[in-house]
Amino acid sequence: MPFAPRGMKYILLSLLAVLSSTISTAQDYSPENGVHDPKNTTYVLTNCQIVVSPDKTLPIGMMIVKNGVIEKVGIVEIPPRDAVKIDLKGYTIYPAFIDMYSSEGIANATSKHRGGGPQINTLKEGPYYWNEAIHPETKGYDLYDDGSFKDKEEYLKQGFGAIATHQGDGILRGTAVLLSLSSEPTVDRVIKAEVSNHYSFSKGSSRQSYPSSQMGSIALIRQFMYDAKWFAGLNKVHKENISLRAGLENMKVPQVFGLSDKLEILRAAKIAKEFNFDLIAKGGGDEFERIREIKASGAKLIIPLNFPDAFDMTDPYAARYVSLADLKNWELRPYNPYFLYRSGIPFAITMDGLKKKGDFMKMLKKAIKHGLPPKEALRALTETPAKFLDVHNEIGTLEHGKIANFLVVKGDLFGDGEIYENWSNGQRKRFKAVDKADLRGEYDLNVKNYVYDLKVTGTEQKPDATIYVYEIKTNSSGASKMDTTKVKCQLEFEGLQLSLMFETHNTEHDGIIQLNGSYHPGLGIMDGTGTMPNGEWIEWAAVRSEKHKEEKKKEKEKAEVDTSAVASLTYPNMAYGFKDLPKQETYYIKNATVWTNEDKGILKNSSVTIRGGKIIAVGGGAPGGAITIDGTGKHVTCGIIDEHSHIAISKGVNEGGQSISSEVSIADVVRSDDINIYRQLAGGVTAAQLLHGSANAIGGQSALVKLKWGFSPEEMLLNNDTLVDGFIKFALGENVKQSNWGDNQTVRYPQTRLGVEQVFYDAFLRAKTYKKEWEDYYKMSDAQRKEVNAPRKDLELDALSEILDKKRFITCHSYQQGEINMLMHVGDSMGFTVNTFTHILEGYKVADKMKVHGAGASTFADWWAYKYEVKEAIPYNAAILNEMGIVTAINSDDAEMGRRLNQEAAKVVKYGGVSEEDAWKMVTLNPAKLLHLDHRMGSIREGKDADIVIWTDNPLSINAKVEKTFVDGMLLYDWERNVELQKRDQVERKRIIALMLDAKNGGAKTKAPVMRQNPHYHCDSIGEE
Amino acid sequence: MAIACLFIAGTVFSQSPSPMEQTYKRVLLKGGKTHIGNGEYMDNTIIGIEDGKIKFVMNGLTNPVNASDWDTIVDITGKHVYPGFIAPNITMGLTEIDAVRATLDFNETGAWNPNVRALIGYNMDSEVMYTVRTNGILVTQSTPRGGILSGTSSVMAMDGWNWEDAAYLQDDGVHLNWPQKYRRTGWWAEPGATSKNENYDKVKNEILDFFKAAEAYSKVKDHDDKNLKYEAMRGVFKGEKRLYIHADFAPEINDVIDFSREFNLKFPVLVGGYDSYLVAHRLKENHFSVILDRPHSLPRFEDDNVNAYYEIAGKLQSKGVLFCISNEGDMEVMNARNLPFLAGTAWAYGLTEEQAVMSITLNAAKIMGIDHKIGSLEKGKDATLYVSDGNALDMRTNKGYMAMVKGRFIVMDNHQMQLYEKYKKKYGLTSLD
Repeated sequence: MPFAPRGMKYILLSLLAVLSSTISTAQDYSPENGVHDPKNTTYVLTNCQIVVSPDKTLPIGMMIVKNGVIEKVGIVEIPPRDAVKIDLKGYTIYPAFIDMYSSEGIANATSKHRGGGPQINTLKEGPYYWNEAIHPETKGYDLYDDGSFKDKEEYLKQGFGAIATHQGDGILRGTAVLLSLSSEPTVDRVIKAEVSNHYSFSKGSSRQSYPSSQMGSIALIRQFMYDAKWFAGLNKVHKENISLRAGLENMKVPQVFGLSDKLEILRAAKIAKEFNFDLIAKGGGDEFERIREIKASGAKLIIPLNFPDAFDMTDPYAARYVSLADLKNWELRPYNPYFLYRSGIPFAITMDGLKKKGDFMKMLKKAIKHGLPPKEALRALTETPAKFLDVHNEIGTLEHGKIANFLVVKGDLFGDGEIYENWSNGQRKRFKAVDKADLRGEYDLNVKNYVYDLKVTGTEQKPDATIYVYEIKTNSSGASKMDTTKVKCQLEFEGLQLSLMFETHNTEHDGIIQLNGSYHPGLGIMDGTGTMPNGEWIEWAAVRSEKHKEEKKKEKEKAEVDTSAVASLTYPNMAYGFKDLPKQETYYIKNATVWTNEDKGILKNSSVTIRGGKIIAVGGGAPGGAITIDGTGKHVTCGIIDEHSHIAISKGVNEGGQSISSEVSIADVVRSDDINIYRQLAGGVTAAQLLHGSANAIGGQSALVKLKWGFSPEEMLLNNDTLVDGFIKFALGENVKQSNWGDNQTVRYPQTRLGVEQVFYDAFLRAKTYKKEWEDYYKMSDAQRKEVNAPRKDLELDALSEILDKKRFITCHSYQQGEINMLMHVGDSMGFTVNTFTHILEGYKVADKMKVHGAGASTFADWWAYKYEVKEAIPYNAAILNEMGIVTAINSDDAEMGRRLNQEAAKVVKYGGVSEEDAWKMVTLNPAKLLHLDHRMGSIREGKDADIVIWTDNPLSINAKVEKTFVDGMLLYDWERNVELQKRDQVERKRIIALMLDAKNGGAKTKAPVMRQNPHYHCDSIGEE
Repeated sequence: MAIACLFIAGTVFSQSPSPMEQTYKRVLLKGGKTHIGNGEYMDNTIIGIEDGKIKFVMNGLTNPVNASDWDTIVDITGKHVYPGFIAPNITMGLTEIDAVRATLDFNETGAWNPNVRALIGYNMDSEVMYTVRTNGILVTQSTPRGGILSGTSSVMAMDGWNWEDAAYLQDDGVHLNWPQKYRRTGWWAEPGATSKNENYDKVKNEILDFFKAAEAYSKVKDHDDKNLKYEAMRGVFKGEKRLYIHADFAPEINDVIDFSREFNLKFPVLVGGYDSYLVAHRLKENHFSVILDRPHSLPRFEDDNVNAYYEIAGKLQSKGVLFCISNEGDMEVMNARNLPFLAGTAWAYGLTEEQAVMSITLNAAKIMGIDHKIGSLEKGKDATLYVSDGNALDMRTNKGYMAMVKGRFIVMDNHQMQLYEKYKKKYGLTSLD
């Protein structure tokens, strides 16, 4: 009976307080084959330290387990008489881990699609949603198959007692089942049948063409949510739909998104906010790179411990394939849990993402070495997932009434301790014997009256034996001395039975001696029988002369936790990233040639002053406190605006799955760590329209961004400003009709320019009907509304309605005059104006019609001949359009050309003789006008945004180089600083390469260099990254 | 003399301009700012041309002109004169519309095609060609692509009745695509990671084996059993043909250099050469010259300097390696008209102006072995030249005034200019050029 110090009583009382047990006992209604065999033995684990929860540890206590449930924890005077007692002296009991993000034991769905052609419609029969990637009706508990849970043993070994598992396939994946990992029938160990509802952004095994991009997945989730809400509000159900019903029902449990990086968490958080639910996001392990924004989003996290292996950086050329971003990632990812802990973001830890499940504890200890407090590690694996899943009354801590999922550990679980047993659902699983006799010590081994010295060392679990033979030897000169021979001895020890074998050549024995016998722990004696070198059977005995003494371990240096490396984080965390984000300062640029783009024209020897992100003066003296920049010999312009860009976009620029995808938005998938943002700044570009591609007639909504390197997507976006209009991409011609997509892409409507027109008419007719339905509905009284079904909210038609309401504006990819003319006719008859024709390479043929319609033009300076429909393109196009009074811009559609738009503008001087001032406006003021941003960008005027570029020369000159680029008054690119950053990055690379070398020499795995590829999108890029 | 009407033929038909009849035997260009092409510049020159060859380039102020010595005198005072720009390593004449397969003639099936000859497909009726030459590009190296040995290129004039007529140097060299040690996976819209090419050594050995066999074959003059592929390689081993080896990165370039030494190549040319400046001394020691990739390209590695591609030419120049600039890449043929601006960018980022001119004139001619005929405005060379209203390396001022190929005036017109005129007329736009 353990001794209970008096001081602990109050703790015990509280522990023993009666908790209402929600756990039912074993199922007793199944018929049994054989006699009644209730598994209701009581187990008492005594004499051990008990970690009740991350915040509460009993130095010594006992725990009673019965029927798979913890009955008591604490100190009990008298254990029940029929209890099985397990003495765990020297051991610690911890709550077992919970992995709340798993797909173990559940197979992916299978597609019915065959052949190479596109699949437009669902092939799933029945009353389900129209898209195969949406299957909220999927139940983890239906599909779970214990036999296909290959790594189950590994989960138990790593300390897990329960997992929540779902079908890891599709966008809406249905619910997960939470179950313990014992080997009992599944029916006896399900803790909660539907414990969480799962989402992702990737469509998985579905072969349906929609969605083909991440923005499509986001729009699809949103549309489904609106559909489910609408379905729930129907007064009369006209068509049954199981998916919509399940979608609604699933909102009652926690909502979990399976994601792969930091930005996706922010994207999911936007959806959660829109539909007012709490987000639990399974991240990719790089959350530290956007930790401030993630914290602000309120997301709870599940994080993997998928810390990357080091690269083998021996060859300096091969090493180049590993970017600084990947090097920094390698260094900092192990700190990710620490970062999260430090910023107070609640998080759980998952096994997901580990290639080798057996590495889990190794990785966890690595995280601890990198700053995660052990207590928090335990929390992230027990209490937190239980709370996230709303099952903390059932599991997560060792308290009365909870399920008996716990670990028996020798030593510190998060230090050098070892898991001896894993009890799941009260079922005992042994990995090592807790009651193993300790054979270690020094013995006098007597074999036929010859005494050997036997030393048993090693560990309790795996003892080693050595034999020492002492003999007096006399050499040739007659001198005698004691000679010691050390002989390796084979030892096997199981239970209390042992065998020994050794080879010796001494005065008495010459050859192999094999012994077998028993160990008597109380006496320290072994005895038994064995054979001598000559094969004779003998009896033997060994008596312990000295007990085993633990070698006094050197005061193990307290595992140094050094988190200083976290200071190397930059924004973005890659080459050219900022340690501290630049701030808005007051700058006074003097003695420069200033291209105002206003009536004042080009001012020689003038100045520009910026403060608080705005231009506050043009000409005039230096204000107090300003940083003065001497612009002698330099040219100062407003920033270039690229009307047509596809940089900084995640996972797909085209939602080409359908001919109309107005519901998707590039603003949902802005990728703030695209190196091309920095490269554009180096070319004087400060703002851009990130456009959907041209794979379909009605594409997606645009993102209007400032190229704010280092900032988050939301900080880059202008879309959130209410004064900024929305835009949308339309397209015509070969891409829309899939002319160059390969021979099996002949299914999607339209396949001709003739069909394209019909798509537009049809879309806007439907939008008009839709608008009217809502208008009629809004006019109704409450009583009337009860009698009818509300119209269904349709994100696609919402966007088209915005066009009709002049709240959203069109940028249309276009080449040939015929279809340009067509779209203007559609617009005129439907009541909208095409804001901008982009590319518009035959615009010169219909400039007069465009003028009448009121369209603007955004074109290439000199591209042509890359496909049949651009055969008649001419470089004089911009000059003609401009001369015809059409607002004309020059755009890039290309990350490379985007950084040389000044050169592209200069070509308009060559082809058509446009004045330099007008040519310059084609990459600044005119795109600002086309994007309705000219009230704040596009010229140098007091009050406009301080998006300013300092050039070494006339910006249209071939010799012009960018010296400085300011965005919103912040110096985001600087020629000199660029040189410094390169040097800094080179040193940083070397520093991390040295760490990798240390890791390699320390025995860590390394892998060959691999280079991540940046997607380089154009209009007609299809598919995700 | 309203000479302009000579070149803007004013053809109203939308078809490729035809070569002009050579009416003048002795032509004098007077008053031009002359970029010789060899690194020198002369202001206010007189350039004498007789029978299609340059007779002299002289200072116009100190050397009096006797008008009666000349059939025609063109006053180009204030205008810039350049040797015709040379566009190397390009599918010029072999591509018309990138997306229309029927118009693509540069990629033969199979990996080993040294025997296929670019000039056979060189299409004198290419509309694209005539939009390129009006910016001063008058000579091109029409080059096949694909496979390991893509085929044999030819140096072609961008004026003529047919490919025979246009050929400046038939079958100048064979193009070898060296394998990459690291290879991209995925496809262009869905790029996978770049990782080690496990086939590198295998392909390298295949190349070695092919060259060994071809070299051995070339030691016997006449074979009863002819191997066209090996026949096509003869010139390479004899030093009569260039071997153009396409590679970008230093580890591969080092292997290419070793390869060249093994076969004792006389005129090895590296094509691509992103890393060429890093191994410049080895390239130089082993007589390599370099045809650079399009400078208007994004850096190959995320961490690289933003201006990495712009600066390569300047770095090679300072290390003394002979190089020229090409426009290889997406849409390279229609984009070839920007070749002078590629050189212009290299000028902004490290070359002097005249070095930049050399990088698309004499250097290119030397590399391809045709500098005895073209590449600079020097006595005895062909009058293949371009006159621009302003500096031709700057897009604002590159405005073609006239050009000659082999001493023949060429029509400075193309279908794009005609379309421009057509629609200016339609709209009554008189203020435009």
